Amino acid sequence: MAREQFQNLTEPMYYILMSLLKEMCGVDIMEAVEKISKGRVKVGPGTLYALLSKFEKEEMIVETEVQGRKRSYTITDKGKEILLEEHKRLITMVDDGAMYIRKY
Amino acid sequence: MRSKDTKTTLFMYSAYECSAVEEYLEKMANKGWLLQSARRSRFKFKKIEKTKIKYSVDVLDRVSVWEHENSDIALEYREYCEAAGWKYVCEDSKIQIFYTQEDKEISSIHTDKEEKYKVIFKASKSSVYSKMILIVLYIVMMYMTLISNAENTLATNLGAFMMVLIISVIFINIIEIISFYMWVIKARGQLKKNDLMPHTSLKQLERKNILIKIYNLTILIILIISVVFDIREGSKFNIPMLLVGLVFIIIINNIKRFTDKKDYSKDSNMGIYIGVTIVLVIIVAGLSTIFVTNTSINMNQSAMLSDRIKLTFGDFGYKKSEEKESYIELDKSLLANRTKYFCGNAYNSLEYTIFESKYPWLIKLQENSVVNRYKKYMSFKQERTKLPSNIKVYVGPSSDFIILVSEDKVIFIVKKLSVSLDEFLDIAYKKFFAQ
Repeated sequence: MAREQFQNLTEPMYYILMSLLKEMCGVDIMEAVEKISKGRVKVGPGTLYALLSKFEKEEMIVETEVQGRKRSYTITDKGKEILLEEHKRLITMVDDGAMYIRKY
Repeated sequence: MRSKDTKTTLFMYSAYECSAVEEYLEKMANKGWLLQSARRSRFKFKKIEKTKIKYSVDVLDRVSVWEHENSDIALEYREYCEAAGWKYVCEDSKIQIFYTQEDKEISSIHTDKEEKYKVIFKASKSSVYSKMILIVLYIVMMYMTLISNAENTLATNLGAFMMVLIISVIFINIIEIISFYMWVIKARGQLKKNDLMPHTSLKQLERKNILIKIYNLTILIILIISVVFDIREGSKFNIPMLLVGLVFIIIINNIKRFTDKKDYSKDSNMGIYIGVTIVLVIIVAGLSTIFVTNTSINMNQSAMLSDRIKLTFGDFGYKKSEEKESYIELDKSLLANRTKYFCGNAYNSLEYTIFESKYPWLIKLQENSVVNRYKKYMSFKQERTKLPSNIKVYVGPSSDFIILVSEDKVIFIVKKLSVSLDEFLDIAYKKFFAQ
């Protein structure tokens, strides 16, 4: 079931994984997501907190450092794989659309 | 309660009503009251200038109910929220309350509706389960009381009131469970349509609060009245029992305050809660049995009460000198009367308990209770006798145990007399039923 859950990533999940391609402190991820998506996608702290623990359980991200209460994470190889697959899927959808929708 | 610049209000809510609580806090801030702390249902406010504040009453399911306040998980969670612009106010078990005064749009703490629903659902589970367990416990308690002790309970105003109280508590808990599941069904439906989550309005929650407060006040008043006006001899134990109950409630409510101050692990906390509760329950149960069994009146001490006794040991030809021991118990309530009589010596005696009520359903209840009470030791069979057909006669294994049931009386008799059963029934009928 967990595998299905991450088969197609939601937008916040996608951008969170992207921002963790670089080691980052958990708290800074919200800002990073907003920046990368140019303000289009916002993730709330509660949602982020829940997603980070899910990703960690699925070994898609790993905790790298704990300084007091600030935890830093980075993406794992498994996480990168899932991210790239999602990216490919989205490109495929765009290409199909470019070919088909343009006709109309 | 208020002094010049603080105010405490009682406001009850469940986790799934958190958005109504946000509205409530914002309304208070608009009136100039800033939230300081929220412990269970007690909200403390401080007077400030009327401001517009946006609150977020958040449910953090990951914190266990057994954790002390400001656990590590809660602290970490707050760091995330503060980084997003939400300032922390106070917590109440799984509930974390934040506020923001900024005018600019800050994203809410939960941006994923489905995830927010899951969190609230999971956090409410323990409260729902404990309500279900309580309901079962109360039903079992009621059943056991009525089977073994119906006449003692229902014939005193306090006892009858306790039964009504238990029924109403069962009823209230059932309603709360149903409300929660109604919310669950609505929320799931809205999520499927990708709509906003169902929103309990503040008005609804305020109305519920008023009802609960009226109910609590009513039972408090009735409790005080039925204690003060309890006319039994044994009622001198009512006030000590109430005090014991009060101490019990105070201790249970303050265990959390104690564990919050210390830094024990959540397993130790759980052990403390459960341990203290069990010890207290045993103490209270023990005390109440001691108090309740001390209600007999020695007959010689209250001559005027013995006028109430219709059938006596002496009616069967025994002399006063043969009455080595005698006592009576009299109880009266809005529902029923109970009269218990014992008189005799080691070889001959007469004992009976009369339960009298004008409510036929109570008579039926008592009849079932008494006939089945001693199932383990003996069984009662209904027998045809020379008495009129409106009097049912149950006879036990030997004719020393008899139950008489009429329209408004159930009489349980234990006798060791040298008269035949028919003779006894004849005299008993004349004294008890023929007026």
